Amino acid sequence: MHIKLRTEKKITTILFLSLPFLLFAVFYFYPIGYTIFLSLHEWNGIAPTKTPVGLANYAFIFKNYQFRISLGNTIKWLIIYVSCVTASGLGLALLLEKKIRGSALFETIIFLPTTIMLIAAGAMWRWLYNPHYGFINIALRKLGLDALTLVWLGDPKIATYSIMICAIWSGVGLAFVLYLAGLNNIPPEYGEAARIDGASFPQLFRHIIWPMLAPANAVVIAMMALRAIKVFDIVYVLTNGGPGYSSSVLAFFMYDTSFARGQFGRGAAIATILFLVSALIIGPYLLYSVRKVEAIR
Amino acid sequence: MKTRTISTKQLKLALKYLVLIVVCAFFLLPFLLSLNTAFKPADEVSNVTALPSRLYLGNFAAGFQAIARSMLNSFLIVTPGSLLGILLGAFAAYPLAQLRFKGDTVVYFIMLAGMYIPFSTILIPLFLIIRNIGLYDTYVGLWLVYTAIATPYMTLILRNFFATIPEELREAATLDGCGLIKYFWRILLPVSQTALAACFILNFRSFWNEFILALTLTRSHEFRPVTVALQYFVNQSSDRVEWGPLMGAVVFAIAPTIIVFLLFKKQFVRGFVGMYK
Repeated sequence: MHIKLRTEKKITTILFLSLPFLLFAVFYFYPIGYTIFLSLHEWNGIAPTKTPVGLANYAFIFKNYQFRISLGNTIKWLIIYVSCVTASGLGLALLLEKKIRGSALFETIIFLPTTIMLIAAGAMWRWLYNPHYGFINIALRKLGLDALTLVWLGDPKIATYSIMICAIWSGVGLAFVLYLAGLNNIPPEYGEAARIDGASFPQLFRHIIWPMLAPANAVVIAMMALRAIKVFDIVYVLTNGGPGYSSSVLAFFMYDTSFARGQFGRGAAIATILFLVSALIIGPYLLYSVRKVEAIR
Repeated sequence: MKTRTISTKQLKLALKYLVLIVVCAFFLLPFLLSLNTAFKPADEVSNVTALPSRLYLGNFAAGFQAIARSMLNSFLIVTPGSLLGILLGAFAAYPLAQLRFKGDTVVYFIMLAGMYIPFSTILIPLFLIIRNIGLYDTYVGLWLVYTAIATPYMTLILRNFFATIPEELREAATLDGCGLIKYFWRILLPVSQTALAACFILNFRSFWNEFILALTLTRSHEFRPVTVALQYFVNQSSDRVEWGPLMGAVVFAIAPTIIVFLLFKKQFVRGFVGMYK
């Protein structure tokens, strides 16, 4: 009876895992391997033969002007976007941690932009940023701040930052709900005990809230870093990487090189670099969360 | 002394509300301005800060015409893709949560890692696979890819959910002669309805809003989903600055996810939070 159950368990496990595993092999393992393989070849996507070129694609990319701008912008996204979204998400979660009248409404509004497609967010912000009729410049003119009216998406110096503001608008909601859940996980006795001891809010934050938020911090920062690496839609819809290449990012450079110019070998090399960058950032988080799962068992 | 402490408390609360109202204005403003523009006839659009002189619905008609077909495409792509993703996720989650086997942590880790692979790093091979099996620019091609992408997320959420279902339920069922496969279909899935529904909401949002794969794997008007169609519409109208019809189209494109969010707020947010725990 016991042995029979064990065999049944084994068979069921194999049966149930086979289809997801097949899907994984075809759509994850094979593509990663193939991307690396392709990055060592020159290919236009149509020709029957792929010419092996060694590391020439990488050499080309590292000397490429658009690559340097894209890499620089991706790093800017990683630093500025991640810290802005994280800090605002945490700040808003702290404000709304204790229920006040209207908190449900505030929560809904803060999360609303997160629910919509980035392409639509981009369309709306493109309208706001319009240099002649856009709300932002018109509002600034009405306030007498004519000096601050900029060509938000058309000036290579600020285009990336303008895109980031739109992305922050749509990303804060996610950080906010994750932090809110993190704060709710802190047992209320801790805060009460500290308050009875006369701790001020900064003390409370530093010694109790911040350390207890470590898991939420890890999740939010990893999540937002991943979003920063993946940034594509919003650049595509707001500036299409321009003016020039000034707002291009790695994912956009990859798409542009492979699908717009048909240089699949070079595109694959950029994809490989992108993969390494994300592994470098997400890897530690993965190890951390698996250890956590092991600990729970 | 007592009145003073109360007043600082009230002052703090007032300050809190002030900050929250300013923040919420920032989050709402783009929506309100887009709606405002969508209701204006062409000659009033450039007068951004004014309200429409009358409720003009022509922009909604024009916007709907531009993206109606693609919205239908999106529904036909997103629904099967989401359901298949949930099914395959449940397949993987069942042994991981309930049957425990040697190496299950490794499988779990691989699934977790799959969640974090940016699509752009595997986009070229995905495009080639789909093209080579003749599914480029079809619904089925996107079903397949979306199913593959949903699977690790669904596995994770459902594994955590299945783990909360007591082993006794399975043992009792087995004693009654219910096999492990039958148990999955007849008992485990039915008792997990709420989790499955939350999964569907999560998938629906991410695939309705998905862009880069849709852009790469479709080409024609007959198959492209709403994100791609909206992007074309943005590019088309940005030169001639037809902001009215564009904002009309935006309202239609974002309505489904907003409605789902407002109706199922709890499940929506809980799904998000659960995914990253």
